[in-house]
Amino acid sequence: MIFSIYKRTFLVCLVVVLVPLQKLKSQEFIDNATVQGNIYSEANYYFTDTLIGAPEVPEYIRANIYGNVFYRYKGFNAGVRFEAYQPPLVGFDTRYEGLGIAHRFASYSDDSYEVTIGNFYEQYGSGLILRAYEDKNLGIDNAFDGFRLLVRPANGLVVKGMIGKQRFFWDVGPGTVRGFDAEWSLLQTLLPESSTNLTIGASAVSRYQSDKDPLFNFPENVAAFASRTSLYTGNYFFSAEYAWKVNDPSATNNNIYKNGQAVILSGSYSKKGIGVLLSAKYVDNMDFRSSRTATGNDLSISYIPAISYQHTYSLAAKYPYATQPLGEVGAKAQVSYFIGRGTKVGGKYGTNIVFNASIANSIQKEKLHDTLEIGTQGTKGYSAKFGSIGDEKYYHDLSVEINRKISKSVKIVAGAANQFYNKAIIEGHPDEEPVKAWVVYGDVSYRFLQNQNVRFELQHLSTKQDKGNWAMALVEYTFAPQWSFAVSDQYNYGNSDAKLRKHFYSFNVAVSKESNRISFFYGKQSDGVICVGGVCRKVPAAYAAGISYSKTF
Amino acid sequence: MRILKYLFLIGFISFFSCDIIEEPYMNPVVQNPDSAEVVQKVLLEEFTGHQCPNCPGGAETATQLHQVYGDRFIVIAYHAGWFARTSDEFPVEYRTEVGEELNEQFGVLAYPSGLVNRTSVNSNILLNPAEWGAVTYDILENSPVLQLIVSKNYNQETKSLSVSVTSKTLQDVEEIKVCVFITEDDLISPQKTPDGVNNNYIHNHVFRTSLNGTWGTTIFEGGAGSEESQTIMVNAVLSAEWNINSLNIVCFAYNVISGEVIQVESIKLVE
Repeated sequence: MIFSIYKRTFLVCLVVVLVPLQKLKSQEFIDNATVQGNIYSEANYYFTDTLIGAPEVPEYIRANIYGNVFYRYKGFNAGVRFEAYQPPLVGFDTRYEGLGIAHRFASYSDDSYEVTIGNFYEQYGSGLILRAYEDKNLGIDNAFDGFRLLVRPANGLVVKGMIGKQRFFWDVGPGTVRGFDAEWSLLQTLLPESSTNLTIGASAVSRYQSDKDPLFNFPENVAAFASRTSLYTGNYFFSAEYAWKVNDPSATNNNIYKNGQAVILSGSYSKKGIGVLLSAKYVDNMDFRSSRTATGNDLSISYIPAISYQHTYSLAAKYPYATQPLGEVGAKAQVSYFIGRGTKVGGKYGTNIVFNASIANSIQKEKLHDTLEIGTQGTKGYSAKFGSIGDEKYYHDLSVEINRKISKSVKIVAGAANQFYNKAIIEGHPDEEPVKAWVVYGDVSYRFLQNQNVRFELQHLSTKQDKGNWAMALVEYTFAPQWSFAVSDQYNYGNSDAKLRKHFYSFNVAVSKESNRISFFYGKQSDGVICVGGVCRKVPAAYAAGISYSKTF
Repeated sequence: MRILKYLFLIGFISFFSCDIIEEPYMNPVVQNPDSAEVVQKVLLEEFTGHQCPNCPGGAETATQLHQVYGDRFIVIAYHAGWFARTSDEFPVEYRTEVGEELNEQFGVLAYPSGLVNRTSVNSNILLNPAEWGAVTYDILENSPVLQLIVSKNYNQETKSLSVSVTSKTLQDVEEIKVCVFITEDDLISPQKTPDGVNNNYIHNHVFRTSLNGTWGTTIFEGGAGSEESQTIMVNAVLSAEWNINSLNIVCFAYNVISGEVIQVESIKLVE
C-alpha cells in the first residue's frame, strides 16, 4: 500500500518536472542554457614510515577525483557528479573504492514550487531529525536518492516533503526515509513591513527498514518529530528547537528501546564592536540513521549541531570535539569585542578579541532496576531526567584570540586555549585517559610590495597525556595572486617514548591562474582526528608526496 | 494546491509511520532442532582481538545466534590485526598467519567485524554484529546446493589428524574450494571489555590452524552438475599446547567465482 502511494506520488512529480519542458524548443534548450561545473583531483604517492605509523601502501599512488557539471535553463536544473577513488586516499573509507556517476538529479523550480528527482540534499531546521549533506574532507555524502517537493503556498510559508534512500558509498542504504517539514515566517505573512522576523516550524521524519532479525523485535517504522521557533529583532536573535524520536534500537545504542529527545537553545546579540553568542543543548539517545545496523558516519539522518569552537590553528585543533548523539549536555558562550581605532589599548587600527568557553558533559543516566546495567540490550536501557547533567566531563575549551593590525603592512594574531578532551568517550577507546592541554599560538604577517606577503606562525601544545608536548612553526610566502609557498614542522618533542619524538614536516607550493589551481605537497602527517561541525573522521599517520588540481568553469 | 495535498500526504505518512514496540523486546529463543536432513548452514568468520573492548559484544551476539540456530550456525574467530597484538597484560598469542592474511585480504578496519558466508550486503562484505542476525536469517532460507560429509582419524599419541571431506552437489555448482580449519573453545585469558579488563574471559571458536592453507583445495574444477561428489583428504600434526577436548574441525566450501561460502560443517575432534 505504502509503495503504491510512493509510485503514484513519484509519477506526479515526474510529470511536474517534465511537463514544463515540453514547451521548449530544442535549440533554445541548448543555446540559452547555462552550464557550470568544477573539478577537483588529489593524488598522493605514499612512503612507509613505521615509526610514525604510516602504513605500507601497496599501490603507492592513491587518488580522489570529483567533477560536477550543472545545466540550467530558466527554472530547469540538472546535474551529475563523477567520482573516482583509485583507490581512496589513506584515511578515507575504503568502501568508496570505485568510479562512476555518484550523484545525478533533475529539478524544476518557480516562485511557488521546486521539485527534484534523483539525488538531493536536505535539512529540516538545524538538522536534529534530518540533514543530508556532503563534506569531502570528512568523506561524508549521505544524499538522498528519491524525490523532493517544496511548495510556497503563501508568502512566508514553505512546505517540504521527500521520500528516498540514502547514499551508502556506491549503493543505497536499506532504509526508506519519508520526511515532511513546514516553516512559517509569521510576520512576513502578517506584517510584511516589519523588521522583526518570527518563524515557527515543524517536521516529521520516518524510516522504514524491514526486520528479519532472529534475536530482536525491531520496529520497522521509526519516526522522529521536531518543532522549532526563531525570533530576530533588532540586535537580538533567539532560536529554540526540540526533537523527539520513538524507540529506535540500533547498533549504535546497543539495541535499547528508549525514546530519544534533544533540545537546542541559542541566542545572540550584536552591535558595532561587540557580539555575544550563547547556546546550550541537551541530547539523549538521538542517533538516527536510515539503517539500524549502521555505525561510524554511515547513513546518518540526524545531525547534532556542534557547540564547540572551530579552531583554525592546527595545534589548537588537535583535540576537537565530536558531538555525542547518544547523550550529552553542553553549553557555549562566545564574546567578540572590538577595541576601537586610535585608542590606547586598541592601537591605531583597533584590536579584535574573541573569548570562547564551551563545555560538554554526559547526561545523568539511571538504572531501570538494581540488577540491570545501564544500556543493557533488549531493554529500555536507562532512564534520564530531561536536562540532567551527568558527572563525566566530555570536553571543555576555554580560549582567547587577539587579532590586531599593527601597521598598514603588519598584522598579528595571538591566542591561548585550555582544553579537556575525554579521549575514551570522543574516540571510543575506553582505556585512554583524558587529555588536559594548554595551547598557545602567535601569527605575524607582513605585507610588502603590494602583492607579497610573508607569514610566520608559532604554536605550542603542552600536555602530560596522550603523546605529550608538541611545537610547531610555519613560514608562508604568498606572491599574489598566483603563487604561495609554505614550510612547516610539527615536532612531538614531549612524547614519553623517545623513539617517537618525531618531526612532521611539510612543504607546500600552490599556483593559481584564473579558475585553475594546482598545488604540490610533500611531508608527514601525524595520526589524529579532524572534525567539521562536530562530525569527525580519524586521520591515520601518513608520509606522502601529493599533487592536487582544481578548476571551476 | 494539488501538490500541497501530496505534501501533506507525505507528512501524514511520516507522522503515522511509527511502530511502538512493547516488551518483550527480544524474540524468544526457540532453538531449531538439529536435523539429519541436509540443510543450509551459515559460517560466521569473526575478526576480533583481546585488546578490543567492543569485541565481547560481538562474541555475545554470536553466542545468541548459536542458541537460536544450533549447529546450523558455525563460528570461527580470527584474532588478527592491531587489537590482537600481545603485551605484558595480554600475553597469549592467538594470531595466526592465516588469520592475518584473511584480515588483510578482506580489509578489516573495524572490530568486531564478521563475514557471514562471505556474503555482501549493500556492497559490503564486512558486517558489524548488528547485521549478522538478519543476514543469517536470509541465508538459512535458501535450499542447500552442497552437502559436506566430514570424517576424521586422530592419533592421540602422535597428535596426527587426518580429515576426509566429501562434497556432494545437490544442484549445479561452479568451481568450489574446500577449507579445513581447526578452532578451539574454552580458552581463558585476559580480554578488554567496555568495563575494563576481564582476566578470566572465555574465548571460544578461536582459529588455530588450517589443514589446507588459507584458501583451501579446489574441487569440481570448471563446475559440476547435480548429484556429483568429490572427496579430499588433508592431514596435519596438531600442537601439543592445544586441548584436544576443546578442538573443532570446521570444513567449509566456497564458490571460487563469487567467493561466497555455500556450505559449512563442524565436528568435535573428540566426540
